[in-house]
Order: sequence, then structure tokens, then C-alpha cells
Amino acid sequence: MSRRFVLASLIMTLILLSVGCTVAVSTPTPRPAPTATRKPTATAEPQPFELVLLHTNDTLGYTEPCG
Amino acid sequence: MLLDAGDSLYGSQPLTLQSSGKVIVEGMNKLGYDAMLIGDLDLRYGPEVLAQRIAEASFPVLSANVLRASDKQLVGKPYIITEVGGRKVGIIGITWDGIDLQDPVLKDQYIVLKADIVLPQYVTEVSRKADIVIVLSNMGLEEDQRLSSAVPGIDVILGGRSRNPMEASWRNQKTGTIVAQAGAQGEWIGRRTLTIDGSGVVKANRGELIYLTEDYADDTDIRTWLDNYTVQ
Repeated sequence: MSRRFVLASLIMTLILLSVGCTVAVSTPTPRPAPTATRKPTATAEPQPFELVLLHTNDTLGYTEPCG
Repeated sequence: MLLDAGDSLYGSQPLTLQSSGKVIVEGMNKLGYDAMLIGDLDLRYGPEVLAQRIAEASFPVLSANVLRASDKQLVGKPYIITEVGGRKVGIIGITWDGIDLQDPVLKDQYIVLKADIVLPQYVTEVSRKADIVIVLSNMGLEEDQRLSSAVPGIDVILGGRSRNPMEASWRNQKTGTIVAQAGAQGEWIGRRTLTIDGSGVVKANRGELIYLTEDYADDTDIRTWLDNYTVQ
């Protein structure tokens, strides 16, 4: 084993010891919390309706029908 | 709903003139009117007497465009919102804006604003609050028809002043506004039956005039009240 190789190995070991050899660990990605699915509720639709309008105009002070 | 489109308090009938329209207001109270419009003729009593009649009425008296000259305040309510069958109905009043304010009886008494200015503002405001928009108008049939195009958003214009006995309603094909009148002098009552869908659109309307002949018996209580009416 050459002296140069031994020296390189020693330097490499020192670097690993000083920096620390970390193992890449995958971090768990947060999963979305399960949400309750709502059942569609019936919205109160306005219903059709009838409007009856009775109307007069220009009565001109008459108190008896037909003048 | 029972509505009146104006020019009903003032006229040549002795009892009406002697009581300055009070007999008419009292009669309308008994008949259960829901609202009436101030017509141009009704203004002829003057602001003070008119204010008395309005105070005596058990129903709202409307006009969105007539102000007292003295304090620049509206003579009547501009509009009302009322509920019918769980739906909101807005009713706006518009008095004829072509009235001659130089007439000695009216001079310096009132300010009358133009319908074309006032009506769009109130239709926008009332449309936000009500499902149906009704205008009581004293403008005359031709003007009502013109306004039905000029001011979109009105469902019904119940008019007067031109005194047209309209059996069938007229409908603006573009805006859908329905226009109707019921003659004059208490000869007729108009009846308009509107079918309104869930979104507030008038899908159908039936109209008729009820001609008040002797086939319709007088209400006994009102007949007695009227026969014994004394002007105070």
C-alpha cells in the first residue's frame, strides 16, 4: 500500500468524522387529513307563487260606482 | 293586494270637495287599501291638507318625486317593501312630472322631479330588497310604456291619468314589464293575476276589468257609513 494512499484514506476518514456522515433519510410528506365528505343538502328553492293585484286609478273623488 | 294609482282624492264630487278628500281616505281605509299614489290632482289641496290626509290613511301614501317647496322633503313615501305569500314586493310611487307648477293653486308649493331621473335610482334600490318591483304611476299610458323600456327592472306598472280601461295588460316584449290601468271614476277595478317563478320572473299574467254595475251589491256597512257621512 503506498504511502500516498494511506494518507488519502486518513484524510478522508478525518473529513467524515468531522463533518459527520449523514444518511439521507426521506422525510415523510404530510398526508392530508381525511376530511368528512358532506352529503349534499337540499337548498330551499323559492317556490313559484301567484300574486293578485287589484287596482284603481283616477277615482276623482267619486264615492258611487259608475259615477 | 289592493292599490290605487292616484288622482283619487280630488274631484268635483260635493262630498269629496267639502271634506277635502277626507271621505275618500276614510273609505279607502275601510276597503283595506295597501298603498296609494299621490296624483297631480291630489296636490291641489295644498301641502298642509294633503299631509292631514296622509296622516289619516291607514296605508302608505307614495310619491318618489314630489317635494314640498318649503322644506324640500318628499310629500309621501318614495316606496314600500311589503311581504306577500312569503315573498317581498316593492312598490314605488311616481307622480306625473309634467304638472304645471305655475298654476296659481300649485305655484311655490311643490317641487316635482323628473321620473327619468328618479325612477332608475329607486328601481335599483328596491330591486336589491324585493323579489317583485311594482310602480304606481300617474304618468299616463304612453309614458308608462316608454318608461317600461327606459327603466329596466320593473315587473309591473299600474298607471293612471290617461284613464284607459285596459281589460288585457300590455307587456313590453323586451323588458317583460307589464303595464295596466283601470279606467276612471270608480267604474272599474282592475285585477291582474301574476304567476311568478322561483327566481322572481313573471311567467304569466292574466288581466281583467271588473265593471262595477248594480250586479255588485253595496257593502252594507260602507253604504250606511256613506249615507250618514257628515263633513267635519
